[in-house]
Parts: sequence; structure tokens; C-alpha cells
Amino acid sequence: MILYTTMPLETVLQGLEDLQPSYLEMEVSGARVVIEETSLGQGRIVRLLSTDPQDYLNPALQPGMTINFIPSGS
Amino acid sequence: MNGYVNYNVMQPTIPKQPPPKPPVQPPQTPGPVQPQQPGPSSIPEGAGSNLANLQQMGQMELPEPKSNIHVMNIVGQVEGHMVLPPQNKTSKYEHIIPQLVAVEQNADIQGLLVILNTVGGDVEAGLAIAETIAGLSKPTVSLVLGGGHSIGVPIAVAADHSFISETATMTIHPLRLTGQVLSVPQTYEYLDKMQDRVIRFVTSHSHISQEKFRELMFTTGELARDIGTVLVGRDAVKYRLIDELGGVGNALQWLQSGIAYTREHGSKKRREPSQ
Repeated sequence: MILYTTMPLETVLQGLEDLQPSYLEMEVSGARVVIEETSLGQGRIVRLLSTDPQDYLNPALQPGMTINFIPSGS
Repeated sequence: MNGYVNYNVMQPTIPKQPPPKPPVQPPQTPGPVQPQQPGPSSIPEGAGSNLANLQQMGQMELPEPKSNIHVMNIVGQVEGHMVLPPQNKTSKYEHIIPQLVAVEQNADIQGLLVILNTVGGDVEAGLAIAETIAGLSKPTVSLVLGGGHSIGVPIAVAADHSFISETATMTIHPLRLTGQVLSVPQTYEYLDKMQDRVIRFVTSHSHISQEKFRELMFTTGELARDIGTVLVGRDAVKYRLIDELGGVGNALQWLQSGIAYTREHGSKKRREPSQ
């Protein structure tokens, strides 16, 4: 990967080693998304996994949106 | 004695009449999260999404007629094959590219406005976005606000017509690997090849010549830590990298006339080839 940016590389990549997010996959409004768990029962959309292009126009499925869910299992 | 022990509520040893009610179910303790079988999402459809919007954004979605254009905002770092640490604001190509496909496919969308305020990023991701924008059959217009640096330059020129605001800047500098010593000639050749891809894309989608673009790229004395040039609004237009100086109003006006042209002629007006 080659970065072509005006930002110093050390600023861009700072904290890369500490990055250990926990990802889950779930269904939101009929589309599969990858979610980064931020706290119990809450997460942030990281990626949308859909083959329907129109899903990518749905603001509720945009990366960065907060999702509340009920953790399963007891 | 009744036949069970209520472990939730403290009970006297000898219960009084009438016999105690069935025990209160202890609250379910949340178990470990199982990623494979997540519970249902609590974001409901329809009216509930307004509530979610209110909670998250502090505003309600207003019932307005749908716009016939799509606005795409390219901000921060253009994120490529590597997830960048969270201090970076990023534009993710895996979301932007399918979104552009949807723009092409959706009959309600007649034009695309790309607003750039980016510091650059991944070469491959940036070129992929630029090529996708250039390949749309619907009229596209770009507007550089604030900054459209490095890999933001090919994205800005990929649109049919480009605007830059008076105070916006674009930095043109060579591709390099920061801090790495180029030990073998092959590394240099590889970088040179990557750089040529960027140069070729920019010069074939704008009116700047290859010689001029290379000259700007290798200018010394302009940047503190690098070689290259910073073009402020008017300069970018002077070198014919960007088509026009303007703001949101100009960009939308151009887009509406582009949409009208497309409706009339059945296909959009193509940029006349440079040189």
C-alpha cells in the first residue's frame, strides 16, 4: 500500500499497533453489516456487506452509524 | 414448607398463609455475546428511524421532496486496504464505490456533486474512486473546498467539470515512502510507475499538460518538509488543473445545466480532450 498524502506518515499511522477492535456481523434493516462493538449492546457500523447498490444509499447503513442491539445468549 | 427455594427475594423460614406467589424471575444476566447469532436490531423501521435519528444526530428527518442529485463528500484520509487508526477521519472506498454504482443505477438520481476536503491517502483507492466517477454516464461536478491534496487531485479532476473555492488549496507533490531508504532501483521504478499512473490520470482528465504537472510536482522551496507546490484556488485554475473558480451555487448550476443537456441529447456532454 502506498499512501499519497500531505499528512506525515507517523501522524496517520499513530496507534496502529494498539488497534484491536472486536467486530460482529449482524443484520440491520435487511442488510448485513459489520459492527465494531463499542460497549455492551451498542456498536458502530464499520462496513456494509450487501450486493444491492441501493443499500449503499441508505443513511441508516452508513459506516459510523450507531446501532443498538440486544446481545444474544444468557 | 413449599417445595422450592426462592433465591431472589428474602423469605421467612415459615411462610404465612396464603402461600407465597411464584418466585420473581431473576433478571436475565446478559451472557457472552455470540457474534454468529446476534439478537434483533433495536432500530425499528419507519417511524422509529426518526427517533433513532433524533437520538443520534439531534435532529429529525424532514419530509422533503427527494433531490435529483447525489452529494458525495470525500473527507479526511482516503482509506484503502488498511483500516487506519481512529484519530483519522476517513472516506472508505469500499462504501464509496458501491454508492457510485447505486448513483449510476438509481433512476431518481440525475447528477452527482463531489465535494472534496481531503488530505489524500491510498493511491489505489483514490484512483479507483476517480476512475469510477469518470466512468459514470450521468453528469458529475466536483468542488474543492478547504483542501484537495495529493490523491484528492485525481478525484477532483475525474468529474466532468471541476470547481475550486477561492481559499481552497491543492498540494501536488511526488509519491514517496516516508523515511524509507530506496535500496534497490526496482523500488524506485515501482514508485515511479505508481506516480505515472497518477500523472497520466490527472493530465488526461484536465487541461494541464504533463510537463507542467511534473514541474509543479518537483518544485523546490515551496513546501517545508517536501518538494512540490501548493496551489491556492486561483492558481489551480490558472494552470488549468481545475476548470473554474466557484462555490456550491456555481457547481449546482453547472450540474442542473448538465442534467438538462443530458435530457435533451440522451447522453451527457463529454469533456473535450486536452492538448
